[in-house]
Amino acid sequence: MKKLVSVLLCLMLTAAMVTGCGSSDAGSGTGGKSTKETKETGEEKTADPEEYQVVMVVKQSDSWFDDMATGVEQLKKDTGLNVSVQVPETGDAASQISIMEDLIAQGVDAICVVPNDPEALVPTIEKARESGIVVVTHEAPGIAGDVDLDVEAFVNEEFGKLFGEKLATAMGGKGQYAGFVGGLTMETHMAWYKAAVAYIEENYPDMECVSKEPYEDGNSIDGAHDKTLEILKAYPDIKGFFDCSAQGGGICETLQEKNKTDDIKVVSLALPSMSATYLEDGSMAAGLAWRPADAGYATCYAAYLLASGQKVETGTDLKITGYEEVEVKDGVAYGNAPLEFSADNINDYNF
Amino acid sequence: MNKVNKIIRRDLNLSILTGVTMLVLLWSAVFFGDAMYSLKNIQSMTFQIPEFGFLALAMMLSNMIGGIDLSIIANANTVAITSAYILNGQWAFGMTGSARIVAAVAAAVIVSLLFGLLNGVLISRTSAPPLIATLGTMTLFQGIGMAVTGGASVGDIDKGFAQMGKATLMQIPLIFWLFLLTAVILGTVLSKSKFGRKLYLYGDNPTASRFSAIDNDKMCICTFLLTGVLAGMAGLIVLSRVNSAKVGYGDSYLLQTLIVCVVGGIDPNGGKGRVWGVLIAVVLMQILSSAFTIMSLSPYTKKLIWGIMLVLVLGLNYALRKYTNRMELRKSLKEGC
Repeated sequence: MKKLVSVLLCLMLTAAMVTGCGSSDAGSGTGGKSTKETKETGEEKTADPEEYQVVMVVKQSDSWFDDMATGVEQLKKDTGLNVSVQVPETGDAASQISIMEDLIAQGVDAICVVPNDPEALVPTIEKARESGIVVVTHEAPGIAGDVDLDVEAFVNEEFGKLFGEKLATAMGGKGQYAGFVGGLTMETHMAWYKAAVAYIEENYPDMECVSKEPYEDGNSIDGAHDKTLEILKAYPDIKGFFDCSAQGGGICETLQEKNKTDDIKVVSLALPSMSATYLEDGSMAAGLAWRPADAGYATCYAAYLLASGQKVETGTDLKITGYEEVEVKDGVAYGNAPLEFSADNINDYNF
Repeated sequence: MNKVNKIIRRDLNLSILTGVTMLVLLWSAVFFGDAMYSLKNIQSMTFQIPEFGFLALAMMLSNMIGGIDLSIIANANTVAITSAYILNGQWAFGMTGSARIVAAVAAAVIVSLLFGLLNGVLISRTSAPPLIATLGTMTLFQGIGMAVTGGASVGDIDKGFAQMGKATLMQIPLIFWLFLLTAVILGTVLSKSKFGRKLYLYGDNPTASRFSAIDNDKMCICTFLLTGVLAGMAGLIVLSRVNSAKVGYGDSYLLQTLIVCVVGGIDPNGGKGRVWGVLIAVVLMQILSSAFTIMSLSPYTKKLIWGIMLVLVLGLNYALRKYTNRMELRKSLKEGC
């Protein structure tokens, strides 16, 4: 009998220890409470960032979103805004929804979310907005009508033009080239592709696109590699490639195998983690991306502005490079924050 | 004291679980206070429990007969996709309004029964290990959903159905009452009915049950039919909550349902465990996960805590079983003297 009691006691103690692991972090919960109280007493909305609790829900834990979290941390340091990041255990709409449900119940002031599956989040977003929470999304222009604001790093056409410009510069303005997208159904990739081709047609008459439709790399290095082999066979005189998905490394691999890295130039959407080697050995002329940290910073700052009753309109400054003068159109705030990688700066970033 | 001791001993696993849950409840009351026990948060938690709860019950049934059903999530999603197509009018065959809702629910039941039947027949007739068989059907169900939708989400469903997911009864969401009712019925059937007793017997020792004139094949098929329907219900609840259906929604639930079953005292080898245990474990899981959000823990910490919990419960169960066995042996020895 005594033994049983002691075993039970031990059990409870261990349970208390296990569950007590994170109690030091409990402060963020009380922070939410104090802001709620000020709201309830009906005070005028202040603009003091410390009064507002903004939570960013990212897609999952990887180097891209880890970098985004550093941006959010920076915002907290810069303005004192009570902002934090929630990372779902898996990249699944269900985990994002359950986190958002909990946040709604906590009564935070604003939720920023990078949706895994924008459609599935809409009912939860509606629920949040019904309880007076500002919802700002990033990378989800498709549901801009259902949220307070969507923040994008750039207008897709402008970003697409950059592909064209970089490729033309690398190729010296003449020769055949081909373009890749991840898949023909991917809207953003297609928008970039079209803008790039249109830009080249307009400004570089000596350049010729070998195909009417873009090639698909299926968002895989292997896909890009195999397609490039085919294209090299069909168009031996080709002088350049650009890839709107981040798989340009596959093209570079093929060129290295065929010893053609000097003759053929590659421009690709790039993540430092995936493309650094190719940029450094010169097989990739330029890489393009946007900085997740800055996007996170701007998104959360926009959420704070909206929560405190200020407006985000064309010309609003979101206090971070590339978003100093956003352009607002149909509920989407566009920054102008493309990031260009070359062999010189690629090691400054780690996402 | 003896009486308490007796009650605790009657089902040691359940008593421990109840104890731990109480402790977590108390602990969260101390640390979070209003943040955890506000009406709003309780509502939010009861809103989140059902879709996961139904899946956990489905997993529990398959565990009880010593199997596992990996296809529950795929089943739920494909069922949700079918219903979504009926609710948004694409497969409605001219039906409108509430007729559509009835048709969608009926279709959900039929499709999930078919999926369950496939699992059951596959496992009982071919004697395939459930792990492998349901791994295959999981891929198959996912494939069906993928072929039908092309991977896109199916939305734009009937507003009336979407409202059902939001409706509340006495401040508590309707879907939670539905879950509770299902759990109570399932619990009663398992513990009181002839079917339930047979199921435990079959789960504990299929050979013995065969020699006791129990139709093992029929039991296996019945269990997987039930599992299928429960997963289908989860699919309907998902649909009513997110107003759209998509292949791959809730993939992360699969492992969590297994954790909940083990924590809830279900023996993965079959034959042991009760619905109440799983019910309490589901609630415990939800409270912890809400607490994690309030504390904004990193996903690694969350996984660490889930892992510790699983190992702790398994280890404790083992230690306690050994301890009680020894006590009983000692007792019988004493009596023998």
